[in-house]
Amino acid sequence: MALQSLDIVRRSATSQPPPGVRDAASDQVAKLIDVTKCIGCKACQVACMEWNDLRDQIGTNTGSYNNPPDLTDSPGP
Amino acid sequence: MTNHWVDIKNADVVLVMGGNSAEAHPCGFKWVTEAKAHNKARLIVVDPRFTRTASVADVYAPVRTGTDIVFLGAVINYLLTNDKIQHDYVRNYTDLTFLVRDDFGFDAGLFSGYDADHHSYDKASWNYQIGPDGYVKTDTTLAHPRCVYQLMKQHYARYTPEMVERACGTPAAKFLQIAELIASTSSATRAMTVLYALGWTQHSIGSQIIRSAAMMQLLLGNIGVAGGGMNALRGHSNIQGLTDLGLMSNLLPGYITLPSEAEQDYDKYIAARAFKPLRPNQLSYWQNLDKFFVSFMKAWWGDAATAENHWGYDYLPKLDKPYDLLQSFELMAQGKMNGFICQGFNPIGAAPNKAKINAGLAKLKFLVIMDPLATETSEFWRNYGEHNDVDPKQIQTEVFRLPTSCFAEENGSLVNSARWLQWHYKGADPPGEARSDLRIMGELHARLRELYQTQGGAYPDPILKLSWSYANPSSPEPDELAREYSGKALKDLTDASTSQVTRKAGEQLAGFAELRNDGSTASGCWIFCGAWGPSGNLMARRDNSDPTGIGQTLNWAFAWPANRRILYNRASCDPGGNPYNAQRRLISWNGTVWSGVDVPDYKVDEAPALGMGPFIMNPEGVARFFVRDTMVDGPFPEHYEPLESPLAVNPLHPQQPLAYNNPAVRVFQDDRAAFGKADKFPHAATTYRLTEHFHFWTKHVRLNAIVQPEQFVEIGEALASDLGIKGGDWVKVESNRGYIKAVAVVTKRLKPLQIEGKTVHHVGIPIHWGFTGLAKPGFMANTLTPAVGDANSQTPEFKSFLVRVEKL
Repeated sequence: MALQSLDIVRRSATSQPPPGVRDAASDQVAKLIDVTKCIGCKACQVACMEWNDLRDQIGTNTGSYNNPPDLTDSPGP
Repeated sequence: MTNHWVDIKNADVVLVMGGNSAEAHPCGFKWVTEAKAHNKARLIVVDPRFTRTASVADVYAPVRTGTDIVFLGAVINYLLTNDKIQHDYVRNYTDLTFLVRDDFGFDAGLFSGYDADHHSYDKASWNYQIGPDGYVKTDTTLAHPRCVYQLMKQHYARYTPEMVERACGTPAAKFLQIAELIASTSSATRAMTVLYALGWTQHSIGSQIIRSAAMMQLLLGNIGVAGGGMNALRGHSNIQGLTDLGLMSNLLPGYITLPSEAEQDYDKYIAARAFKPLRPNQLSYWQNLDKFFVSFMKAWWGDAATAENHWGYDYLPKLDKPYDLLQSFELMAQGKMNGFICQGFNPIGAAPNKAKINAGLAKLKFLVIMDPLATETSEFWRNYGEHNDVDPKQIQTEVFRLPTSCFAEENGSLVNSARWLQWHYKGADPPGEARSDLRIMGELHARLRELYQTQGGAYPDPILKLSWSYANPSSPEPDELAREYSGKALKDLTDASTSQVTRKAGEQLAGFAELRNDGSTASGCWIFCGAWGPSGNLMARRDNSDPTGIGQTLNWAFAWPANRRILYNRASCDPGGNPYNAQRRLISWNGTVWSGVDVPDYKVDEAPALGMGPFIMNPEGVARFFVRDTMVDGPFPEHYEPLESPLAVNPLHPQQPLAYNNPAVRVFQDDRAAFGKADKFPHAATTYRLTEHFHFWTKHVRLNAIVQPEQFVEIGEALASDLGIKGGDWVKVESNRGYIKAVAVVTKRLKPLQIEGKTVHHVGIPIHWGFTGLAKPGFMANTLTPAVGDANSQTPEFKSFLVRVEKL
């Protein structure tokens, strides 16, 4: 059955347990990002790190706003 | 903000200029997104850089930093020339019809009365013509050559699209496209909001830039209406509260100005500020000043403030000169200041010319730092290599670091840009030995008091007689202070006509209309009066119901003044009291009273036929285009170049060197000597924030440091190519005051501008780095900036100065 909008709200909104606690197999959600509205504030990037308790190294600037410039395999301290 | 965040969604046109709200206010910017999505609003961005706000704009125009008055002056000229003004509004609600004195004039960039030796004006001629009845003379036909309308037309005739192209570097066609869109809101049913921030304030002509925009909004009838207004988006949480509570060196709470040294007489002090109406039947609300002032003095000095001692007027300092940020650090640099208490303030980062700040701090006997973070200022004496190259052995200043709790570790109220006082609750205990600012100040007060008691002093009364009736005098609680600034009755208050008791002694007051000048009421900040009223703490209200769907949530928190959400809202109605735009009705006259979905900014039972103007704080009753003597640098805004400009002359006044820079700007001798010239420093620099960081705080936070880890500067592709710089290379950026080294971000978003036949390159300098914290160590951006302020507010000119970029 196709997902109804309330299912998506139920699975994405903050009243639910974090994704690590959910049953990943049956409860996968996708995120639709409208890039015409996105200004690249990276709040989603930070929220993801915070929600999943992941921290990268504090890197360097390589001549771009994009940071970290790529995925790393070694988390920070 | 005259309006509020949610109200932005009602706009038909949004002008973002002198700010970058998508980046600096990403949460509030959602209301621009709402306006675009649901109101078909068009977003205009005018900025030297193609910012993250510009990336979602409908129209973007580049402009040379510091030339906003040329751009806005040309919009004013366009509106006047093409008759795109809201006639009903400007004739009834502004001073366009007022006549100005014959001896007022403007010639070659200077207004009448200029004194070149003192960089100041004798402002006697900057006034209206007053008739024998004591009121301003007017001409409702607008034909009189001395009426404000005619003088304005004449003044702005020089501000043409061609001048915009020459001085700002904005293509004339792009300017005209924007002017046309702006002009579409001269219709009574269309509104434009103006969102600005430090990109306007941080100039030597900053106050006049903002006035130019306010004048544009008045011509269009966009002040006082839903979806309109002049909206300053504040740069720090609660910086609105800072100015409201008078934490400026020349202010008392509620925008009451401190007396000057010449004002030793209490009655004259009040009379000079309680303006008499300049037109018949105007409210001129500042006539109530003595009620606010006496209630304030009762809040501070309680029983010691009496009618006999003029409510403790002698306890107040009388200013011999302004003691703003620049003046304070000038005194420190001269060795005339011995001690400095730095509370929630990091001047090495926040004040211009770091070398001067460092040198001043090194001359102090003691420096007290109250902050949750280990700021650079608290470490100014320590050597951090090139980032802070000092010799600690040469610095004798004793530094006390008092760690404080941060906002999330205490209860209290924050005032947002929309003037909303919102109560918040403590989320966690502060770490380590941190204490609340209130406890630190409470204990400091106790010890100072004891010293004055035991050892006396030159004038102990202002300290010893302070009213300090907190449950724990060493640590006042936020709710105690909130009740105090809101205010209470000290005696039973009675209605003058019925003699009935309207408020019992000790009860909280509902609003500033209850304040009295006889000592029977106390209120620490009259504009906050009612925030903690008889029914409790209104700042803690969280009812977001919005009955009419235009975002007027009157039961959410408390907005000053009087829970009013849109200032000057009487001007949203025509002179007869009917809304100009019925779809966005705020208030209207129902034949008996004014009512609606906002608290009327007007006398609530005043029939419209009586002719009272909507701008009740002004003695004119109307809004001013011609501001008389209230500004130091002219009754009309005029363009002057930044103190460090890539141009050798002001394009508007090439023959008049006195009008090159703001003629009324104050510059200290050592600061003038530290200015650079375009021959050595050819690049126009501007500083700004990034969305990933907040000021100098979040480089102490790992997540923010991860997403923006290291200092960089932005340069355009053309300049990079000229200098052989590739993205990721290290560059040195130098002004006449110092240098920084940073990674180069080479971008298409900064284009060279053609100004007066020469190419001007901008260099973008984000401010967030320093030598403490978790992000990669860096230089303070203010190593580069010049120490000169806006002529009126002394806000430093961080947005326009000169540097030289070279590859390392």
